[in-house]
Amino acid sequence: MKLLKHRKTYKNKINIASLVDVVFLLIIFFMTVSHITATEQLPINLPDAQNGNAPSQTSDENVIINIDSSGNIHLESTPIELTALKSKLEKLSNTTNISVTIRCDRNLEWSKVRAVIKTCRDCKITSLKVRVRDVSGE
Amino acid sequence: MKLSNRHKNRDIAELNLPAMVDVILLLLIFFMCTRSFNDPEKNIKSQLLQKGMSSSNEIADIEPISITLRKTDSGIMLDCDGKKYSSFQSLSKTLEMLRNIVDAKVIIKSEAQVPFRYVVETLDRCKSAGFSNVGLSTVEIGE
Repeated sequence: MKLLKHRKTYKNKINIASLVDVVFLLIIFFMTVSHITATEQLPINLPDAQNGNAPSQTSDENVIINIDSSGNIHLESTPIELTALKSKLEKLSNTTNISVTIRCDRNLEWSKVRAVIKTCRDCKITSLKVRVRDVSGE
Repeated sequence: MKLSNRHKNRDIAELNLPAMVDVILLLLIFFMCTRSFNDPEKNIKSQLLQKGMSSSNEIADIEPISITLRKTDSGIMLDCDGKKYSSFQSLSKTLEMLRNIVDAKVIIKSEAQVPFRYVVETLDRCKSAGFSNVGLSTVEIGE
């Protein structure tokens, strides 16, 4: 009879230690596979490419220009007109060396992108990077 | 004296396991919510040559390779120095052959209606072939 009672208490116990182990492993998994999206990056359907380089920190100030599928221009996450963008880039390029990164929708017409690139060229910017979705599998 | 000592030791050794489990579960929920399995983003560098300015590694007396993209009913037509290609695979072969001769400057021009992804694919193929100096032209075709 005493033995039976002992069995009952054994059944009710939860093995917390192994539960913590499993949950820790899950946390490590999500930490390693996750990319927390930067706030300045709008969700844009980027074109695919295999020969891109990982964005790196340089001495130049990096300006990210987002162009969505409707052709709307965003400087970081702020919507901006082409004329306002030009004056802003002119101001920036006069004070520091800047490099421009364009994040543009894959299906947008070239004429819309060209207008932005032309603006960058007019502002004497020589370093242009095109942001792509890496499909190299590396 | 003995009693108080024992009591103190037990306090130190005890761990508040339910609270720890709560925190861990909250962390797990946070990472589950913020995770995204998107492919990582990368950059492709392109030259933006100003008028009257030549790039540092430009080799004298070598004509730049000009690639023009035109939109057709069936898709895209590629023109590399006057030679027409209907696919990127055939253009890649030509670019590799040209790259084996010299690392010339490549200029990509495109019609206004061409989707941006084709321009990027051309840029990508040039980089694949090994060209280090690839530029996007802002000149309208026909200008």
